[in-house]
Amino acid sequence: MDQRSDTELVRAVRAGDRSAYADLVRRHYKGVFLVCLGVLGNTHDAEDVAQETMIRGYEKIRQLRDAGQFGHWIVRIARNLSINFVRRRAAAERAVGSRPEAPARREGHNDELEEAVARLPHDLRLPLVMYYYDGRSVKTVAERLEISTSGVYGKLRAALRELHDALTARGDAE
Amino acid sequence: MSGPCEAMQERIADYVLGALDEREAEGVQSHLGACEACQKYLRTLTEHSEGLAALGQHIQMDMRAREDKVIEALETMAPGGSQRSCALPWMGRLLRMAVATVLVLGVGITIGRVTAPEPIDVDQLRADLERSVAASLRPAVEERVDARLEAALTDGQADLSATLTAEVREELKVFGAQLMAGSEAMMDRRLDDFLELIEAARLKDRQRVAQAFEQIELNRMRDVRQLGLGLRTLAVQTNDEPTTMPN
Repeated sequence: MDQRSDTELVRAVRAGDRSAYADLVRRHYKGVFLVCLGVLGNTHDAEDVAQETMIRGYEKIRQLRDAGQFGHWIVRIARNLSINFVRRRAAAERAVGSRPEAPARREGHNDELEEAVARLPHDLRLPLVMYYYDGRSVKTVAERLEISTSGVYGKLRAALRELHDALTARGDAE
Repeated sequence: MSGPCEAMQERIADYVLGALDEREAEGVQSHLGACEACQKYLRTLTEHSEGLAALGQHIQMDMRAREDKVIEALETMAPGGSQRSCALPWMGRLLRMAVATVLVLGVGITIGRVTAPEPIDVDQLRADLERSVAASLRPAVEERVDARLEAALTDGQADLSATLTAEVREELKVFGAQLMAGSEAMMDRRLDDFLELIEAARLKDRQRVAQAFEQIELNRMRDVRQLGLGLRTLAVQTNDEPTTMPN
């Protein structure tokens, strides 16, 4: 991958170098996708919104004031687009009167756990996904979500507890 | 078996997350040695934690393919930021909207101030008219004086100059008198026009007040009629009812 800094890559993109943006995608897509997954709860929607986010970032890169803040900026776009998507999806579900079907079960996959994660409220799911799916760094999660590390720990504790309660209740019912 | 100790649940979650320092971790371990329910709770949370990490690894497996898909989609686009140019790229959308709002309000207030009718100040009007008429006549006077003086100097006759000076002075007096007469006449006409306008507005107001009084009087008479009818109805009903006395 290109060793240039985000600032240099953003300047290159602004000067018309499309390949520089491909390097920014390689560098930041994972963070963007995980934010989308954390808010939306399923990989299919997360892929769509993450792609929309990267395209939006490309279109609006001239509006980024501090080129060195590209990572924070693009994650913020991802979060806003995901929240808007959740609202539109909820409105559509209300209009149709049903929820989308759960994905088919896959061999060797912890579907119960994935479903329980998908049912968490998104303010708990987002830090949980960012922590467990991307290197278990509370500091990174805190920076990306712009909250304190103690705030991240609080969310993770609550998310684990909710997961435990949901999965225990499901086990008891079966 | 009963559930985990309520007071220990957060501690155990922190233990799984690695959020405790050494002394706090030892405290949790000490409790776990003596509490089977909390041991089970720890095992379950650890399983969830490992399951989540495994899910994360599974999701990351497809990350490269997802990145390729995005880059492919970007290939079809125009160079970065050129699709929609922004006049003020350093401004956020909200800030631009705020500036636009302030500009619109400013223009509106300015237009409002310019076009709003002001009360008539007769003295000010008189002074303005005098200044206006004097300013419009002054160039003509000066031009005429200059022309006469120039003609006199060309002839080189001092006496002519004196004569001309006297003539000019006389003319200036005449002009001054005409100027004053003209300005006063114009001012009187304007004042008459304004007074007519004011009188017309007053007349209109009086008519509106008279109409309002008429309407009030009509309403009052209608209310009186309705009250009379109501009282008559009440009187009739009262007479119809048999008089009953409590025992």
